[in-house]
This record gives sequence, C-alpha cells and structure tokens, in this order.
Amino acid sequence: MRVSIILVLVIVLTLISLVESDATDVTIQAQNRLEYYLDREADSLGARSDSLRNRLVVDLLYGNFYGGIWYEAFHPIEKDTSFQGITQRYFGWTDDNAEVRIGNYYASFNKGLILRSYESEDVQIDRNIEGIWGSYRAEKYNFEALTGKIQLRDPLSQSPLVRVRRNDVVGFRGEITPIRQIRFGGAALRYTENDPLFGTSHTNAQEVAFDFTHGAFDLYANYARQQGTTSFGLMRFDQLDEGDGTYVTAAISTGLIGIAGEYKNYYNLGLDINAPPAANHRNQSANAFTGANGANERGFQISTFLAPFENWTFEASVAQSSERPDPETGHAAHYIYNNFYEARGYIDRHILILNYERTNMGVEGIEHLPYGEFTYYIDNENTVTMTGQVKKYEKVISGKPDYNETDFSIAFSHSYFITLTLFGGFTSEEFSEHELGFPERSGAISLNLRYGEHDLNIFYGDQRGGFVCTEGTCREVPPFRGLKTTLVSRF
Amino acid sequence: MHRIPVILVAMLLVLSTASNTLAADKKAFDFTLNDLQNKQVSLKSLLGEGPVYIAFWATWCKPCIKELEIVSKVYEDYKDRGFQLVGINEDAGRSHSKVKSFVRAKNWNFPILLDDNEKVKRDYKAFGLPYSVILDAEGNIIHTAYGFRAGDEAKLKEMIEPHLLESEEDTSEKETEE
Repeated sequence: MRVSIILVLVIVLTLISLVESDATDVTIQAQNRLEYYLDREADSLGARSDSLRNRLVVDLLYGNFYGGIWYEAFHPIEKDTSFQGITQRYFGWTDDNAEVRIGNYYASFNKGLILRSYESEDVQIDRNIEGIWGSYRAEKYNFEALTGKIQLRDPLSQSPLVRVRRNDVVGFRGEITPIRQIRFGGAALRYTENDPLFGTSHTNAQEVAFDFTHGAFDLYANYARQQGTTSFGLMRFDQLDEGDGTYVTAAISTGLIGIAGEYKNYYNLGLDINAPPAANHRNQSANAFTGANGANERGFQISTFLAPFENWTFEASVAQSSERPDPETGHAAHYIYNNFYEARGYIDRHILILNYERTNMGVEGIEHLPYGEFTYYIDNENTVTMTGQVKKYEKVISGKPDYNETDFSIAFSHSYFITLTLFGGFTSEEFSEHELGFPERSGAISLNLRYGEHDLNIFYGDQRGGFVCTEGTCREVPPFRGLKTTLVSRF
Repeated sequence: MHRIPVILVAMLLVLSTASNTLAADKKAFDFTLNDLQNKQVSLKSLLGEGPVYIAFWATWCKPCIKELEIVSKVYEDYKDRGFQLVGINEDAGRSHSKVKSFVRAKNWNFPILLDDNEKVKRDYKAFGLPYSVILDAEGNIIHTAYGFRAGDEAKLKEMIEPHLLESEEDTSEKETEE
C-alpha cells in the first residue's frame, strides 16, 4: 500500500512540474474518490472490519492529443480480492470529426443488443476493453471500429471482483443520416472466447437499426442476430447456437401529453458483452436473479406523461417482462410486472413529489412502495426536505411472513455548502439465523460538505440492504451498519 | 489496515495543496452529440456568449430531475445574458422515445443531448449522477459538482454572475453615467 501511495504522489508531482513547465499548452484534470467503510457487523462474521476503495483518474490534454490513467486501490472485506495499481491507461487523438484511442475504453453499439461495454459499481461490472477504438463523424454519416480484449468476471472465482481479460472482440458500426429526421445504421461483431478449459470458440453478431424523428413523433427499431457458442458462466453449450433480438420504441409527445412505448423480444442473445434494454421503470430484467442480462425474454413498457397544469407533471408507467418459455416444458421461470405512478409539482416554490411503485417478481414476491417528498424553502439559500416511504413485501421467496419497511428522513441544506440529514426507520421483518439481520428500529445521520471542488460525505448508522439494477442486471446489496466516508476531489 | 485511512488523508492533503497549480488551466473536453431532433450539437457551438451549465442526468435519477427543473428557471432568467444550459442524457440503452416524451412534458426549452455510449460522461469523469460542470464562455471549467439540492441555485447565480453578458439595465446605466 505504501508503495502504491508513493507511486501516486510521484505521478501527481510529475504532472505538476509538467504544468509549471508549459502551462499554456497542457491541461490536466484529475479526480480522486476515496471511500472508507467501517462495518461494525463485519467482525461478527469473521471478516475484516473495514474496507477502502480509492480511484484516482488523471487526464492530460495537449492540443488534439490526450492521455490518462486510472489508479485504483481496493481493499474490500474479502481479503483475497484486494488489489491496487493502474487499472486503465489510454492515449488518443481527436479533432472535430475523428478520434482514435489506444488503451482502455468503453463502447456500445446502438441500444446494446450486441455490444455494451460499461462500468457499474452498483452491480460490480466493469467491461472495459483494452485495444484500439476509432470513430469518424460527419454530418450525414458516422463510423466506429474497435478491437481489443474485454474485461469480464472470472467464472472460476466466487468473487465478482476477480476479473480476467482473455476474450477478444472486433467490431464495426456505421450510420447514415440521409435527411435529419431519418437514420439507418448497422453493426457487426466477432467475439472470441479463449477459455482455458474449453478452448477457443467464436460468436458472430450483426444488427440493423432505424431511427425516425419528426416533430412530435419518434420511432426506433433495432434488430440483431447472433451465431455461435453460448456460454453462461461455467455452463457452456458447445454447438452452433443461434439467437436474435428485436427492440422497438415509439412515442408521440406534445407539451400536454406524451406517450412512449417499448417492446423487446430477445431469444438467446446472451453474449457476455451485451446488455439489451430491460424496458421497465426499474431497469430490471425478468431473469435478473439468475445473473443473466435479460437475453432471453420478451416484454413491453408503456409510459405516459401529462402536464395539464403549468407547475405539475404526472407520469404513469406499466411494464411486463417474462422469460422466454422453455421449449420442452413451455414454462417461463421468471417474470416481472412493474407499475409506476408519480405526481410532482410546485406549491408556490416548494416542491412536492408523490409516487407509488408496485413490482411483482413472481417467485421473488411482490413489492409495494409508496413514497413522498416535500422540499420547503426557508429562504433563497436554505431548504428543508422531508421524505417518507413504506415498503411492503408480500410472498417473498424465503416463505417468510409479509413485512413492511418504513423509512423517513429530514434534511437541512444550505446552498452549495452543507446538507445534514437524519434518517429513521423500522421494520417488521423476521430474520432467520442464517440471514444478516437488521434492527427493528434503525437510525442514521449523514453530513455532506462541499468546499470548492471537494465533496465530503460522512454517514454513520444503519442502512438497509436492497436490490440495485443497472442495464438489466441486478445485485442484492447487503445491509450496512457503521461508518462510511466518501471524499471526492477534483483538480 | 487502520493506517491506510491516515495515509490516504495525507495523500489527499498533498493533492489538495497541488490543486491550485493543477487548476491553472482546465479546458473542457470538446464533444458532439445528437439532440432529440437528430441534430448534431457540439460544445463549441454553445461557447462564445456566456457561461455554460452542463447537467448530466437520466430519467431514473430523481435528484437530476429536480436539478433541471430548478436550473431551467435560472436559465429562463439569465438566457438573455448569454447563460447556456445543456442537459446530457445518460439513459444510454433505454428508450430515447421516453426521454423525448419526458422532456416535452417538462417543457424544457434548452438542448437535451443524447450520450448514447456514455463517452462524454466518462470524459468529464461523471462517476455518479447528478453531476454538473460550469464553463466560462471560452470553455474553461469554472466549477464541477456532484449532487444538487434545492437552494443551490442561489450560489449558482453568484458563480455565473461574473461571466454573464451585461444586462440592458447595466448598459443603460453606464451610458447615463458617461
């Protein structure tokens, strides 16, 4: 650890001297985020009591050239997944129309049906690619090409934090805009898995996309297909396997009313490196619990927005997704029905938000979540915000009785400088001895301070666990009891 | 392990001390993105008049929506003095149709740009939402911030004031003095 810190200091001091030597041409931007957790429950589990994560990102711009590094130190509660070092480095050239980048990068084709390389700490995914990426953009067309090795979770490790980079991806995307209202696009991808146990296999994927936008109307259609070996973690089916996917959205929107519809139909479109849209308010796939990314399901979402009065908007969203039925049994194991309704508006200048969400996740149970929030302006700079919600769980998978979680908070905020929040809550959930429990009554305090380009948050108390979803993939975050400190600094 | 936080705090103090030097010249990354009508909009086209407020947001991000609702009122008050507001949407793989309907219902009259592959978000190091960047008319970064609370607009007005064009009242007052 000490060596890594010295390395960071050397990098920073080198950059400072570089700036001082030629301040007119070079721009340096850096951001450091430090998170330190002291978990007062961890000791009872026999794990380390504190964990630390630090990410320093430094970018250097010199004319049309740029370069950067990510330096990360991560010491989680699980000791065997600690790491520290440079996790990303890149160098590139860009002008008004073109860009070339060598090193680490993220890329997505259209809506992610065949490629979405992204990072989400919430669901512990980091699919950055190491290689070469280039793009060219003009008024009526743009192109994008890439090659490299993609970082994925190591299927041989129990920890989602242990990652490997042995699979290759090569791709090309093109797009033509004959008139401003219409766009046609297409993309092709070749994905090569170099598995130490099963050897090398290839998957080819192609897609076409169409986009029409004119005035109040909007239509988007995306069709993709893939041919090749499919793998899901350690399970692997060594035969040519074909899949396809369709994603369509349409909307009509005026100032008074807007209606947007989404339709998805994916069959065997699991590529490890894609993330087809989940098409619901929670961004959750029907089979999110299995760790898959929604590559084998169909569903729809209809959203309506109303603005009948000047300071009020209303939203209603209804979505249904279900896993594609097993061809032999005709049985769909997972589904999700999600309804969301919201009203938000201003009373004088004070802000009121009311919403209700109901999610039926089949065997995982049903969640009801009414939520209210009111922000009161004491004066121009000082506000008080109160929130309250009651989360009701029915028919949960463990077979435990239905239960409620009630949470409320009150926050005082002074313009751009300080926010102090008090949290309280109680639950009627009964925990078994195998579960990480949570107190019947809980409380917490949070302090946010902003000074110049530095944001400091100190949290102490109890925080419920929960389900977080990104790009259709979800993760159950365990409850936390203790101290959290986050400091984000930008230079 | 317990020494690590102490060492890191010391490291950050060094970084903070160095920040004044590093902040001497912070040019913003240029970008070109499509708006909701498929029209290409570049950062360069927004510069030249007054300060630019770039808000990274998404339809699922509740504080982001509150931020844009409030800052859009500031925009209406100051747009005649060169203040520019641009919302960079990070719904990414989700429905653009939904974004368009949402924006129209909100009656937001400033550019909403679609950051399809989140590249601009990463270039600006927006590792969480809401995230905002304020630029001067030349494209230099004046301020960046995570999060937004009601009441922050008071400080925002203070920050952009020196970079705004003179109002008609100011101009006529000067002419009267002369």
